[in-house]
Amino acid sequence: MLGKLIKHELRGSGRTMLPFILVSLFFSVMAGLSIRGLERQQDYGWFTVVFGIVIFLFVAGLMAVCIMSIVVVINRFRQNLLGDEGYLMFTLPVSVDEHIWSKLIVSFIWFAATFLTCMLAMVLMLVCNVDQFEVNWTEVGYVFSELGRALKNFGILHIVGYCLELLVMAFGSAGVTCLTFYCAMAIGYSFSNRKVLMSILAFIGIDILFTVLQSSVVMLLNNIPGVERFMENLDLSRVSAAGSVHIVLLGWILYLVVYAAVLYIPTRLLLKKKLNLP
Amino acid sequence: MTATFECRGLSKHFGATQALDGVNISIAPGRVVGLLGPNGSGKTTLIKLANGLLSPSEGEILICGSRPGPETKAVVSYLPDKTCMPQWMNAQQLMDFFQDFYGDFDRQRAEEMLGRLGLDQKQKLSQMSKGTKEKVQLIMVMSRKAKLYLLDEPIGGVDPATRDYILDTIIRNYDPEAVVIISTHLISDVEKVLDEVLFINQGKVTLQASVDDIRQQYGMSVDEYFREVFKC
Repeated sequence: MLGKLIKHELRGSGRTMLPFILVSLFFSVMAGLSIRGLERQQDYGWFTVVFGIVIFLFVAGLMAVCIMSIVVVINRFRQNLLGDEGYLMFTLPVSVDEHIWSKLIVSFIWFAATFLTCMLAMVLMLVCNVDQFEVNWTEVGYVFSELGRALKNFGILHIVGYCLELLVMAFGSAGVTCLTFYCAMAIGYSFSNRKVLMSILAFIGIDILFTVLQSSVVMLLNNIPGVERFMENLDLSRVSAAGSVHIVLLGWILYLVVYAAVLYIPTRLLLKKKLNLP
Repeated sequence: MTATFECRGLSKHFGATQALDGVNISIAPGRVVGLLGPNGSGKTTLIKLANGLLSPSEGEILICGSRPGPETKAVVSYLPDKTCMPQWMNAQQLMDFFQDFYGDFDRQRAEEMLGRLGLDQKQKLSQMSKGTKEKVQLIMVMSRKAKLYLLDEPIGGVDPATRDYILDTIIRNYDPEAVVIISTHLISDVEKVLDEVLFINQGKVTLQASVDDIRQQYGMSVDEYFREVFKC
């Protein structure tokens, strides 16, 4: 059922996101062409005005995609689960966990799509900017062979591990961002009145709470007898440079997992036990 | 035989407000039941509890012997008292949605009903009138071969012709082995389709009886008896 939820969630959110992505890519092509046009002009004149407008649209398009990815995360959760559509969604034969996971996975997909759109827009602008885009395959081959050699020296398993760890970190970071919004809305919408205001207050409250919690944990660890000695006695010299990067990345992932769990549990509980549909 | 719908000492309160108070109900399969009561009597709360949209404060509610959860939701077809279908969808997308999630959804039946309505299946819900949206929503709900149909105010706020259409759609399409619970306060319109009635007032079930028994015992229609009981 999770797959079906994801499919319909992609349809629902894609209606908003895809036009923004396509328009921003279109403006990136236009921006590249206008730069090329500007370089060819003898007398700039009116063309500088067109150029200015196109560049503005290009930047605005990319900003709009980034903003919309957050707006869609918030709006889909609010409208689809906490608004009138909640009557349909929460009477489907699926669990609350599947609802939350489908929203998280689709949000991650749109965050990734936003990142890729920004990258692609830059590439498109550069490609359209140059008169003749020729690929020097000898150079490309050389770059890849050098890259292969570097990977071999560093250890292919390490590289695969980093990629996986970075992917999990990206998902974790996106998950924490989304869950902060979800948790705030789940709290805010459990009230009978002023749901939006209560959600905003809950969001601020969660932010303050986590800042205090993080500081408290650090202070607590510093004051526990033995922790400092343990850290001093840690013999990191036996861990390779590649290995220590893994330790840092895995430690960060663990932090994200704990952070996400602390947000996930109340969100799930509120949607399961304190759902307050309009 | 396991009751399709059962409440045992079911209570629900919202803060200091008691919405349901020690409700005991048992409904066997194959009955069309009217859940009748004045506004604010607890009808919608009871239906929301049966759908798992609310959790009981005390007691329990059982659908085919199980507490509300994904398994019971697979056999319950619910019509809320408001339009809940995504407005950007058209009828075809709605049918895809229902077909994906409900194994008991009969697409052919839905298409036939939509065809009789003369509806363009590509038209978005947001472009439809309120009455048409309600009809489309009802068609989706009644195109399932569910064990329990929970219809919350299906004829509230619609014109008499639409009321007839809605009641006709319900009666033509429900599975005879299923239970249909219709919540309403427009009793005269639904009386003709009911087997049984539940009177609910201030969170308490005050009567569970068959329509024939009420007519025989009190010598009046359910509507007249309701007016008598709930006279202000």
